[in-house]
Amino acid sequence: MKFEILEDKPNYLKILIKDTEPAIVNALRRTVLAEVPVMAIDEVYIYENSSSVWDEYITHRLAMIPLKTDMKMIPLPLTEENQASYSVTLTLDVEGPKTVYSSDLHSSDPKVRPTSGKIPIVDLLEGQRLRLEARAVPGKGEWHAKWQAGLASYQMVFKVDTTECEDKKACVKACPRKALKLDGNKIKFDELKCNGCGACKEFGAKVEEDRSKYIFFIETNGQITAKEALNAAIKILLAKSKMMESEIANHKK
Amino acid sequence: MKFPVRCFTCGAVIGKDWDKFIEKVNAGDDPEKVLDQLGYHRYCCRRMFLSHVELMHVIAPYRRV
Ligand code: SF4
Ligand SMILES: [Zn+2]
Repeated sequence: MKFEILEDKPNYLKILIKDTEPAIVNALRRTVLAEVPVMAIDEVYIYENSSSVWDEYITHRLAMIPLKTDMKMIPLPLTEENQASYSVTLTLDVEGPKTVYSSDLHSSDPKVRPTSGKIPIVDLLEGQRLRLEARAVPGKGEWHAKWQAGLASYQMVFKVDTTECEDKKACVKACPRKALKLDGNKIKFDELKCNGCGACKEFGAKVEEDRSKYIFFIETNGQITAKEALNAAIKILLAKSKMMESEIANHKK
Repeated sequence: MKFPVRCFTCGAVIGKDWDKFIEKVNAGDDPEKVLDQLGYHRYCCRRMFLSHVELMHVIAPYRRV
């Protein structure tokens, strides 16, 4: 298996995985979605809420705010038992008239804070007040979507054979993704642009799935970087495989 | 009521850009271009912005029962 990085931004990673098969790429995808742990608010103690909306409405909005996460602090493997062993308290005390933003949340640990301070939570009018204490704990996307590190998906790569094309110009023109380029008498094919639509088939090209290559991308919500998410996913997969290995080795008839 | 924190479909954090979006749109900018600038390329997130009706200020004076 070989990785080739196509795009590398803090919260976005696009790679081409070669010499692989869909099962492995899908395992990686599902691990990023459901197993990579991040922090999110899980418990809220509301001391005063004289705003016009319910406590539940506010707590739900608080839970959706992504919190910067320090991966080193999270116990692995994360279970529902050891989840609460690492927690961070965030406090909020705002008096109206004012819009409450995520930047009003003050964290007990400067490393764990909202990724953006500009997320509106609720509007307060004159005389209204919101005072609460929230506890953030690590969790998995499998338990609740607020703990999902981000999106991950993959896309198929195609093989296009244009040697039997008669009208090369028309064939190049027909491609809606501009994956084909005329180079002298031959057609150059860019596999990263092709989506397998088959429009070039009409002109004699052969389109075939390449089942050994996949374009894989991760987009995180900001809690951790896309690279951290990929690293964590690989580590979790390895740990699970090792666990299975030792279970089989220790099995007694 | 208030603009959602996350996109209902993909979970991207959209709440942080609402103020910027509505400020520019109210100033007369084309919403399509503003969304492109903000980097929302999926249509699930784009409809969240385009279809939102801000009603918080309408209910804000009322009290919960
Ligand atoms: S399958 Fe579609 S996208 Fe791919 S090369 Fe042919 S026309 Fe272009
Ligand atoms: Zn979306």
